[in-house]
Amino acid sequence: MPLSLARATLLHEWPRFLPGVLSVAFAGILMLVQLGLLLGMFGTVSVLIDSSDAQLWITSPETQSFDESRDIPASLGALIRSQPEIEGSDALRTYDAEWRLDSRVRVGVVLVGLDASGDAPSCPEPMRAALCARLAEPMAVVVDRAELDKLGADVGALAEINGHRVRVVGISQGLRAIGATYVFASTQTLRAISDAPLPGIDSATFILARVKPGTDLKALRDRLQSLLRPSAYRVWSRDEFSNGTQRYWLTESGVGAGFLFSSLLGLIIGIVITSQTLRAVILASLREYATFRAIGVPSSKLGAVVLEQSLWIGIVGAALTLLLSALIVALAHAFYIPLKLTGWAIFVAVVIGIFTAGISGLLALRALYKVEPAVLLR
Amino acid sequence: MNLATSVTARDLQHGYGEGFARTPVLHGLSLDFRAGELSLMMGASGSGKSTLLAILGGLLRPQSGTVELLGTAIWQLSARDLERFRFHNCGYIFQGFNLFPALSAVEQVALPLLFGGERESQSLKRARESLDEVGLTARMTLRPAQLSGGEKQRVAIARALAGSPKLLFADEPTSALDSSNGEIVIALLQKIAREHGATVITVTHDPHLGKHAERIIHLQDGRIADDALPVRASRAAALISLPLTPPEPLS
Ligand SMILES: Nc1ncnc2c1ncn2[C@@H]1O[C@H](COP(=O)(O)OP(=O)(O)OP(=O)(O)O)[C@@H](O)[C@H]1O
Ligand SMILES: [Mg+2]
Repeated sequence: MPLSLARATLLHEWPRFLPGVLSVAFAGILMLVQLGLLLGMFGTVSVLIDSSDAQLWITSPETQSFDESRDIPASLGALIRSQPEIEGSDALRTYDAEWRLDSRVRVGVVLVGLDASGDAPSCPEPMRAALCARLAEPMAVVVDRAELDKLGADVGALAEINGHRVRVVGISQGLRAIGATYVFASTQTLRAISDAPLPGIDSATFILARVKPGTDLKALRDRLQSLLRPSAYRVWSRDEFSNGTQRYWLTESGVGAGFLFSSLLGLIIGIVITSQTLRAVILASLREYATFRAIGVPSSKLGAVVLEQSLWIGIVGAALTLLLSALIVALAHAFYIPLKLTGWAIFVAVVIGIFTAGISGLLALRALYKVEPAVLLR
Repeated sequence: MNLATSVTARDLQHGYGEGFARTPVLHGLSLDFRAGELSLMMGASGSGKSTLLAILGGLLRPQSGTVELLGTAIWQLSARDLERFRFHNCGYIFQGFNLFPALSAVEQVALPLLFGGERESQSLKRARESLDEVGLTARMTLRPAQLSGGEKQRVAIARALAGSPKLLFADEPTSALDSSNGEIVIALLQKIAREHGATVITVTHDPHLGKHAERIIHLQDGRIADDALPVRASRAAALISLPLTPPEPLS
């Protein structure tokens, strides 16, 4: 291995560098865990979008989020189906209602009305195998396993929604969202419960469409959007609507800003500690550096040594971040905490860790550039 | 100008502080040094020895006066050019050995060459030659913590030698060493002056070292009080005491 003062010092005096490495790792973990919680929690607000089999979603024009949308005419479906690239289309309806069981349980729920068929675009993936078809039975509902306690229900239980008797015919898994308790029913059941006001005007919350494989989704969306007028309807791809919904929650709840703030704080603390660490290392070898300055080694060459050290601190710190994050994710899963880390988030954390160390190195350079070789002659 | 004259200082004035608080240290000092000679600078503490050495060695800009090293007026060079001049012509040895704790002896010596753009294999080769010359052939892979004070100072000398400097500046190189190690170091410096034709200027407190020097300069309150050759007899003694490398311990 080539001779490197930076590496030799790191290996020989590693305890000196430890505070820097730990603070980089700490800043990274702080960010990753928060991000993981955010992704874990806010990833659920779009669960019905993500688990649908529909690549296109049509909403009212001002809609920004799944749970904040106005009804649109269900007849739109006919127009959508007339497009050659569309394989199937149906409507999804949501309706705020009150769930009652015995006299104890009273819960506000969101009733989700679907086509009672496993291959309908609106049928969520976890219910496709059997549960959607089971909703065909009048006044049948499906609830998620994670909501059973809250609803006080189990399979076969009888409950009331807005005064209408319903029966739980199945339990889904993985369809829980923060901010809403979903109860799934067929469109007919939902109509019965909601006492649809004006017969003849059939409305839906969303129109969904499944496109044929190999379709240029973006082009199709743009064409549908121009066909439907942007002032009256909004056409989304599934990913756009999912991301839009999550972004809406992040910004509207203020959690996003809180996350940015505390991550920034972690970053600043990381930079301060790391640059102080590097400064201390420079100061410990100040006379050696001054000797090299006397010999005529340019400051820039010595600066490169400090920057290489900071880079190594960043790399080791980021590696530590990854290791500990993996541990934390495993722990979180063991305790059913919705912590989710994507490869993208981990990549960002690594980059930020190295960036933190790099900035620290640049800050510490000032100590080096102040070195005067004349101090050695006393 | 004498051909062998390598260092010419004229009318050097320097002081620290400003206005009323200014303490003058050097009062219009002029000096010449010749190549191939070891000159000792002595004088009471605070007499300005280190200040003078720093000015001669291109490390401290004098408030007035000129310094010519090898025919170059160094204080008229730009900072970058002066740095380059020092890199190619000057070596420095200090009281503290100033070695990086993480590096082995051979790495300490090779590193400045590496920073100067030399290839690594070439740098290490030069470093080994240099350490051979100071008698540390058997200590090349040891770190400073594993070396004695005298050995550390010899590593520092090897580091100064590796760049083949024509000028060597040493500020109290022996005062952290016991007398026998001090003798080894000063004899080494004299050998360098003679064999490499280098100009070696050494500040010291130790009057016993005089026998190894071609010339002794006494400073007093920023002026030259005495500038003389040491006694001939001690010069001869210096030549006889030459075996520079201490005998290798039987291991
Ligand atoms: N950076 C400085 N700032 C202020 N005064 C200084 C500085 N460096 C040296 N001096 C003063 O200048 C005078 C000469 O200092 P110098 O270091 O040249 O002496 P010296 O002969 O090397 O002494 P010593 O034998 O103790 O090393 C001293 O009185 C010292 O206090
Ligand atoms: Mg001094």
